[in-house]
Amino acid sequence: MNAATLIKENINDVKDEDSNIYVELKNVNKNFGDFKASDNVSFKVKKGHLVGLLGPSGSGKTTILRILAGLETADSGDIFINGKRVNKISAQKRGIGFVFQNYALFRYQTVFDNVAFSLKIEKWDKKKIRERVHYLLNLVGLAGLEDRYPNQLSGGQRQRVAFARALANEPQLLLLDEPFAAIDAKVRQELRSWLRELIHNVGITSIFVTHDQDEAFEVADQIILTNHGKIEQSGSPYDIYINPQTAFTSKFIGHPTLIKNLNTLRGFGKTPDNIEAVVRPEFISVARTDEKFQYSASSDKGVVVDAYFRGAVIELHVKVGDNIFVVNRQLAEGRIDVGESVYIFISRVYLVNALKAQTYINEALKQKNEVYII
Amino acid sequence: MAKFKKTRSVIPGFGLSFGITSAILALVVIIPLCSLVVFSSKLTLDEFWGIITRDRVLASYQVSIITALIASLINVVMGTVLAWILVRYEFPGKRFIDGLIELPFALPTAVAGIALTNLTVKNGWIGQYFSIFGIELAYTKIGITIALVFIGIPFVVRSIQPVLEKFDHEFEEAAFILGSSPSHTFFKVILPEIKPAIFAGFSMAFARCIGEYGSVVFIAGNKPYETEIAPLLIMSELQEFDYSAATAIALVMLIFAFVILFINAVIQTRSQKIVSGIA
Repeated sequence: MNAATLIKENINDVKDEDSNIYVELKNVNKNFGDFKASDNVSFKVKKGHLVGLLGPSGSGKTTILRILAGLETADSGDIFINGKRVNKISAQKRGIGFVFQNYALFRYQTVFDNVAFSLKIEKWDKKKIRERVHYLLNLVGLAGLEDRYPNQLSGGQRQRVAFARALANEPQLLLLDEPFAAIDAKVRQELRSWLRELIHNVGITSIFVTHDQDEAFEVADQIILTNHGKIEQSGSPYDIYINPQTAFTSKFIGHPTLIKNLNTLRGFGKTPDNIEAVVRPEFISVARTDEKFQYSASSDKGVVVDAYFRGAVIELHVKVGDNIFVVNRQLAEGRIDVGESVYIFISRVYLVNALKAQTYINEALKQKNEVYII
Repeated sequence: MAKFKKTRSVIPGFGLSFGITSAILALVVIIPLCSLVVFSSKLTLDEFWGIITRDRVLASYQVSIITALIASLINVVMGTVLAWILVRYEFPGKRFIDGLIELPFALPTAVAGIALTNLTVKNGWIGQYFSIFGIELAYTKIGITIALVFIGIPFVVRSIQPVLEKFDHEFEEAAFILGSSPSHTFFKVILPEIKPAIFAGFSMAFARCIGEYGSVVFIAGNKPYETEIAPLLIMSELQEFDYSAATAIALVMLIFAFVILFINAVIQTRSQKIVSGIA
């Protein structure tokens, strides 16, 4: 393959990529007084993808969603939907479905009227409206509840109505603001997988906002992580989880603990002094001193200072030198109690400086197998 | 009864507070109303019917009800707009205007009546402009209506205001994204939410207006069959010491007020059911 064809193919790749992009934000800024709600935000969303905007509260994720919907106007920057710049197009004409955090169902209208709201405005034929509403209510599993009022429904049912209403006039983009926040934990779990499946079946490009990382990881095809109005990192859930690129990402994702004096730990001796590092429980294995342990040569000895029974796992707090590590031990591996001496082996940490995060793998693993990924 | 005993409240004193409540209610409301019935029961049914169907009495009912109805309808529109502006917009003097709303409650009605009469007579500040077109305000039904609008406005504003304040912007945004125009949003989304409050305000204003005396007598002119209101007729019967005739006329007024408030209660219960989700 010569250089010319290579370039040509690359160009084709770029084209392909662009034609697949449904939503794009370019350098979007939005201030509320002195508060920077969106700080030079740029990202792309592929057609048909389900994207999670994840971040702590006040990180600007809802602002991004509202700018996309046309409920807020950006101070500067461009918003493209389906290749068209929509900055000056009003929310009514952007072809967007929006599910509000508290659903905003019209309380004095029945389920049927709520779902039919946009269809009546678009002056659909009465028979067609009935067909469409019945189709949608079937889709969301609420057939037969047409005549109920929103407050006669459970939280989960209300969310389904809100979802049906947002989809009614066949929008090409669905935006959901904290769609599971107002639902109790058990139903939430159910609804997550339901929503994921439904959105993929309908095939609509969707963006949802959440502060709950479990939710984002479970539901999204792509996660966009926001903090202080900026985009920290964007990528597949796997990529975000395993390869945090920034200090914020490495400290936000999972349940990380900070490590002091990393180079005093075995297997990390070559790291510089005083570097900040974080580790997550899943990268630490633990064994009692009398147990057979694969990496005993490169393990550190510590003492269990706290133990919490979590059901499937026991969460142990192990003190090694100045550090206290959080470790999860499977219930089946046997119990370890407070005060016992244990070995811990750390397979991977993230080195953090002000801007970047970098993965660092235990030396013992590097020697054994250079291409070890986890 | 058994059910009654079982539910014991954390805060004691239900018996005491219920006793006080019923005592006050009896003293202030029920006993006076009963006396009205007792007084008019001295009449035979024929006599009673004779009094309340006298042409002059019927005419006064008509005047009272029509003017009260028109005034309350005007107040519904004006009150909604006023409440809307006070809730939705920030402007200098907003708090002052908000405070002014209660003025009709505070002002002695006679003072209001005299002031309004002075404004609306032929050479008054406002009356002079209308008299150019040959429209007389004072001493006509229009004058009565003006006085009743003044009296009734706080009822409507104060019942709509809190509902509008609680109204979540999300509803409007949802309607907006679904393609609704501002006027469509107002009539289909916002109006249904404030409708119960509008009805409450309307019926309170109406019930108050049909009984209004102080502010109306000055501006009405009190011409029998034309601008004579029912409360005035009651007064004149009393001045002739015809108590039973007075109470008979009053009883009919009372029934009107009850009917209005009952209709309102039905509407409130119905919308409460929709909102609270009890089928």
